[in-house]
Amino acid sequence: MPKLINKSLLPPKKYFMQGNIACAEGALAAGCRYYAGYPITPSSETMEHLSNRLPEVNGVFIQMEDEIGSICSMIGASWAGAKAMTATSGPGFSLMLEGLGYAVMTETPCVIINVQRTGPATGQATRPGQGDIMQARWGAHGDYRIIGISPWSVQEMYDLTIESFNLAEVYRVPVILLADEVVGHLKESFIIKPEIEIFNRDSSMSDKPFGTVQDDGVPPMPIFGQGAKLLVTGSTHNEFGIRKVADPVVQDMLVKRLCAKIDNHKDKICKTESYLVDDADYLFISFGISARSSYAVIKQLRNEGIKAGLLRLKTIWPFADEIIKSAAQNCKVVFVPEMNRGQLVLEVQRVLCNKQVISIPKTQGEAIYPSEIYNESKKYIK
Amino acid sequence: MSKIKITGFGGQGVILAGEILANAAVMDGKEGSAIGSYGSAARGGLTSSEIVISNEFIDAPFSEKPDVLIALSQDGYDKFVYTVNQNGIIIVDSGMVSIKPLPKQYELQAANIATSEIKSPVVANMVMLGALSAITEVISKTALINAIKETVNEKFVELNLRGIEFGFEKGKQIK
Repeated sequence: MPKLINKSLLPPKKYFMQGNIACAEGALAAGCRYYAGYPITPSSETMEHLSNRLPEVNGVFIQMEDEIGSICSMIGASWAGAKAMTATSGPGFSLMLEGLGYAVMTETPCVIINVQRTGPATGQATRPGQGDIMQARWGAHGDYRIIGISPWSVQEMYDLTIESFNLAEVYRVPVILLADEVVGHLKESFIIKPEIEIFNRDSSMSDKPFGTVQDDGVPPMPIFGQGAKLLVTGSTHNEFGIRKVADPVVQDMLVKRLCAKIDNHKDKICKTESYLVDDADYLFISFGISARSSYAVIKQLRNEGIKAGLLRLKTIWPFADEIIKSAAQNCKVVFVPEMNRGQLVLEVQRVLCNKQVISIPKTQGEAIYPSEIYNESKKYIK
Repeated sequence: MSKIKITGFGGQGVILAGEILANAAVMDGKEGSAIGSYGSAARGGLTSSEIVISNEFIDAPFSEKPDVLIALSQDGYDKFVYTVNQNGIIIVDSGMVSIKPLPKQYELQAANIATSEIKSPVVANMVMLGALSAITEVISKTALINAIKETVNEKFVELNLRGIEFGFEKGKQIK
């Protein structure tokens, strides 16, 4: 797929900005021109900012009646050719799951920002959590794949929102940016570069908009109003979009392709960052704000002469099995700090079934602090 | 690296003060981060702001053991006063807080100064930042002034700057 270079919308320089607002600016820079949403703490700043900024770039902003309306509106806008987004938090994300499944089934590129707070249900609206990562992966019914991304800084609220749009466009899939309240409300400096890499969907007219002969498994996506005759349906459909609600072969082929188009490109999609991993006896695997606390801990342990390293998952879904296996190859113990009762750790234990993998969970509606990770990990460091 | 915690109740400008402080550090060419923690009510309730100022990338942007605690309310003082780093200091509004006898504690009546001398109770937060600048090396007064000009609504810049000036003078006296 051809890569384009766009100029940034804001003048390139160093900014001091809140994560949620950097996310909104990232969306605009990526070409987002449609936002439908319903305000919810702690994500509302993204929506508020876009309500001012989208009209300035000839975009459309709409406050919907609820989150179900929001995601459906976004899906419609995407079929009309717009890059579209919504932002929410746990309770709103729960409502969006039906629409998420529909976006997967109709292969609609779109971006959902989930600034995670505590749950279940209303929980604590202003407090951080990371308890939605399994929900993001498995929340809708049926078999499918989505892409889940986790930013750890204001810089990444900007950069990874752009990345989310690129991935959505390339793979015709909903991408969920799994931020958390801390990163969303954090204010710090970040850099806007003069140029941004952009990928746009292949919108060529195709007689097979839901099935493909393309190697990458991603069919071209015609835009409404440009002459193509097609049916967009959440029911099982063949490559032409025709409903096939009792055909076992079509059902099987469709589900397999929806999964394969992500699975087969895992190497390209999965992004991680390693810190002092090569000689590490003790490996921390984390994401989002928990990874920043983990980063402080490995520096502290290194100062004590303990060989500790951090593998940070920028992409949570698809899961980076191979990268994790290779990073953990020579380590003695693996720690997984996260702000939930232990969700990511289940995946890590699956991948590293022969290793000692220790969960370091926190569910107090506060960030997980370096001292907490340090004290827990010290119990296992000989 | 300096870690600062500002604490008070909702409505005292704790979060704004934290953001101005971190922004001032960034304008000084350093890295600065600010995280606010607050309840779901618009006013009242324990509120705190964690600020980290560093010459390099800030790992964890938290002030678990602050080098400086700025306390504007009793609740905040009581909750965090014993978390202060061994060599850290406390700057406390002694008009709002009944204080404990502790070393390295600087007292000023920020809310009273704001009300009686500046005629606006809402700038007690700026009085505290001014005092911080006079008492410590954490941030320069110039950087604070620049950050206020960039952050605060134009109508209120002058008022906030007066808060900084009064706090700075008071800080020099009690240093």
